[in-house]
Amino acid sequence: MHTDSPPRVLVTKIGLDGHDRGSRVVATALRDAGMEVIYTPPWQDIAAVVGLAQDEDVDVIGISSLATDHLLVPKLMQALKDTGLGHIRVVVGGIVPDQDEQDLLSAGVSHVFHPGCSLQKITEEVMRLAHAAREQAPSII
Amino acid sequence: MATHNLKKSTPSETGSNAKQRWQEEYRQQIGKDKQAFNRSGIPIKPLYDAEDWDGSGHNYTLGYPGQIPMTRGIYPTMHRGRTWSQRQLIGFGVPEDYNKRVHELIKSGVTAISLIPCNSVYRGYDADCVPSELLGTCGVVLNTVDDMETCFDQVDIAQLSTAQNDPSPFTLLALLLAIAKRRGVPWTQVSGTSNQSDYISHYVANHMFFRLALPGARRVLVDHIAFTLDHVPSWNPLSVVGQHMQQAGATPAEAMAFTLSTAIQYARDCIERGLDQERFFPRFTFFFDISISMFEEIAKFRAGRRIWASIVREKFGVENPKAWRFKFHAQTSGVDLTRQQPLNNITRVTAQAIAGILGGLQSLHTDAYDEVLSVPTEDAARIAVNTQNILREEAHLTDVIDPLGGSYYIEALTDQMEEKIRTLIDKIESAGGMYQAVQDGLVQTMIGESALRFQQQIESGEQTLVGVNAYQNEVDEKTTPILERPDPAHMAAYLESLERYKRNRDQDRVRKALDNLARAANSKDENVYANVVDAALAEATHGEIVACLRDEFGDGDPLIVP
Amino acid sequence: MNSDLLVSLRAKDRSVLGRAVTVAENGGEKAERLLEIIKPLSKSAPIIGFTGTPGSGKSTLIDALVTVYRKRNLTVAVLAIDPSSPFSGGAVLGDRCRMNRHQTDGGVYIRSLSARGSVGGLSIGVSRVISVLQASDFDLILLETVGAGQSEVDVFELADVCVVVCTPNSGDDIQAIKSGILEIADILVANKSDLADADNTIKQLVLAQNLPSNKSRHVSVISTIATQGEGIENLADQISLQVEGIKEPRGKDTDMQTRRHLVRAIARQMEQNLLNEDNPKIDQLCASIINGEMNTNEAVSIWINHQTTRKTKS
Repeated sequence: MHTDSPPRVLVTKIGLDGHDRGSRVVATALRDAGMEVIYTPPWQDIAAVVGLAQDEDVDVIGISSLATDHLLVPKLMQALKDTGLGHIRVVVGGIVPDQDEQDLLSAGVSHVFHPGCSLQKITEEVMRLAHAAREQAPSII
Repeated sequence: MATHNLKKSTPSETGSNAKQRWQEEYRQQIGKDKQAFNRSGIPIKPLYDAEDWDGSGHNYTLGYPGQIPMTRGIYPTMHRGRTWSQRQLIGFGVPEDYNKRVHELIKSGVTAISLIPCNSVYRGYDADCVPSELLGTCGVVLNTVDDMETCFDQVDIAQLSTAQNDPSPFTLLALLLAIAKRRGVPWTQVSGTSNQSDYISHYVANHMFFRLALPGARRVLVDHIAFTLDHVPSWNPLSVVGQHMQQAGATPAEAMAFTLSTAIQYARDCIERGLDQERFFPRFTFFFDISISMFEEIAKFRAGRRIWASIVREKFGVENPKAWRFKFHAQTSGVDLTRQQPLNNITRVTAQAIAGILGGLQSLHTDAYDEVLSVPTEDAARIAVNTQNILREEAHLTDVIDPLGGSYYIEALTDQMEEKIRTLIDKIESAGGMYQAVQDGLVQTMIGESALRFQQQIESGEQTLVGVNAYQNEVDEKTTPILERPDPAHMAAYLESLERYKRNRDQDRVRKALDNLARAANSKDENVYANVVDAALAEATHGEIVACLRDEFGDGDPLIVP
Repeated sequence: MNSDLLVSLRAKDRSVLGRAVTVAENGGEKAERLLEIIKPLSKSAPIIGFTGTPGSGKSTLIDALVTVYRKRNLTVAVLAIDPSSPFSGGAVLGDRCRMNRHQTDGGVYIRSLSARGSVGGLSIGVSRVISVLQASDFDLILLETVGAGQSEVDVFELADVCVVVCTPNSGDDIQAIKSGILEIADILVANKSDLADADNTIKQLVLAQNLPSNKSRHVSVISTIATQGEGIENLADQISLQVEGIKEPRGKDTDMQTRRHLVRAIARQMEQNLLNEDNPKIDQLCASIINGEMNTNEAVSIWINHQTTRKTKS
């Protein structure tokens, strides 16, 4: 595995909401922590996110949800599995009610970050997850 | 009994000696004094006195309410005469759900209604084009004339002012005009505001309201203003929005400056289209965020009023005094609210609302305390409304007009905010105006930097957030509001009714109306918005109208700036 | 396993391709093994370089161009390189999704590359990645850079056809583009030609192609409105003409270009070596500079003398 190169993280928003202040701030923090961030505008659909994750060979996908767009994340988890990208870790940040958080975790989401969570905690967790993802990524040679 | 004769107690020292002594005592007792800054970066002193503002320029900088320079308010009576409109944002589920809430709110004393459509509507799609999980979770699904009819069933639309949260191409107003026509209500009696008409703010803040490519949005807005001036004269076609930018991270001074720059841009566009500035300026309204930085917000609004009056009067030479009025709606800022110990948010919203009221707002929305946890629940929304009722009717905030006017601090701060705002407006002007500046990403870069700076201040503890970086509870209590999600059966029934609607209408008439709309988009002589209204009258749906214009003008592609 | 890899690459299996690009980009022994494996597959799709300052609309232009190529049934790989981005290389931000409409099209592969991860300099990393894309049988490879900095000039020199994108209202654009890039441009695009001042830009561009070093070549100037897809077909045609052109015997210019490219690549590799290896002589020179015994220029002379004598001895 290419464990020595910087983690690659896709920071994106799926669904209908566009508020992207949070995802931008987080993307900057991840970059400052030495990660390579692929940042997209909001309103991605699931197929596009899966395609991006493949093309960019990312270790972690961060989904920002300020409205109710996190309700689509279980579908994303399934699509990643179906495409053989089960090793990629997915985290969700934003406004996620407790009931929904349980649903996301059971769908395979690694972590849900709530408002007020420090950037340091987010970067540490994403870094840890990225390394775990690489351990599991299938080798091509 | 001791006598307290104030006249006899004379100061023991002369003024300058007294100040010097205070300065020494202050230095001795304060220990390590940290330089304070407000969110806009203005240094804040521990005390203000006549050296900071001596009142000598009173007539130029302060004046009287309803008079130039407008600092103290845009009407002679302000809140003593008429308090602000209580405008609560509502929208949830299917049109029937919305109608129920409207009736409840009217009963609870609300005088104006804001309509929040579902995010699918915001993005410009009909309900049958988006993932069904998301429908109605953030606003009401509303695609057709029939839906609008249901939303305002048993509501007198000639009496109720409605703010339609309705971005370009303003399909919701078109649907409202269509039901007015059905009910025989003349369009001259339809009043309210196109709340989301400021496409530049949508572009900057990457809002879901951004539907059409910039040049198309620019065209439709001017046509919308022209159309309503002629046909719906009580309608405010333009609300220039500072709220999106401040929510996206702009400082209060930046938000005010960018909003005024945007208004200048729209005014120029209207003039270029040949509209009469004496007529359109009075219909411009504004919409701002109120953060918890109280005095800064008050100064922001006072400075904004003064700058706007001077721009309209001096820069554009508009003579109609109504045009000089800086009418604004404000919403308490969701960014200041915390997930931790959520009931604390009621206090935050109260402080924010006081700042807005003392700043002289015309209309107010107070956030529900649970907004950070989920889409607001009914109970929380009721507390938000009552926060306004208490402030208006119990707290004696409305007895005196501009009660902080003449305070050394407020006046000095208002002057400093004005200077800061004007410098930023000049910067945008020299970048070629707001339209050019957002196309180049200049504004977005500045906002991004401010957002990051603020987050770093929280992380470093420089900015206290109760429950987040101070006064935390040992164990974070579980915060479980009762989640309201639309009833799936209702939503399924809605989708069926939408399908029926699309099947049963006069298809030729719809097709013709959409063809006309496409043609108008490509012709400089036609009014695009008049054709949007015609399409709604011909029973074209919201999504069909937006799609037609997207084909002609192009999609709203976001610009992401590092 | 190796033959599986070849088959997957050739079929443009997105996951395999994505991972292969990472391996190539990172360099080292694994990358060498990969390049060895894919060698038999390599063909030579033309490489088209695009540069222009942020805001010139080059991403939108590439997006529109990809649409045209897809209509012509050509498969396309796009490498977006942004070493100067504050988002640490990899991130190409909004640009990434200007091209979003191609995201679910199997005939298009888009990848953001960072400068950081690549051992041996950006252009060496990029050329390894290009080998992977060649093995994956794309018809065209588009390289996007922001045109700032020497490392980008190096990357740009990997391209067979070089396109420089400019806009009206920003005459500084042309000056801002690293000199060296304009000299190797084959096509100059005046994008957003619907804006005021477009004529002036086009004039400036026409003047620019009379730079002394360009005299021996024909540089075409094309105006486009990428957001509306105008002029894009014409651009695609011009690119094809230039691609045909490269098959002709190479002129003096190309020799010079190759030489410049080689020398820079050597310099870059040596820089990496000297920075990373233990070298007592370098340490000694650094110490002397820090102590104020000599300046950097003097140290350079001593180093070059030292190198020459060492070679003569051996």
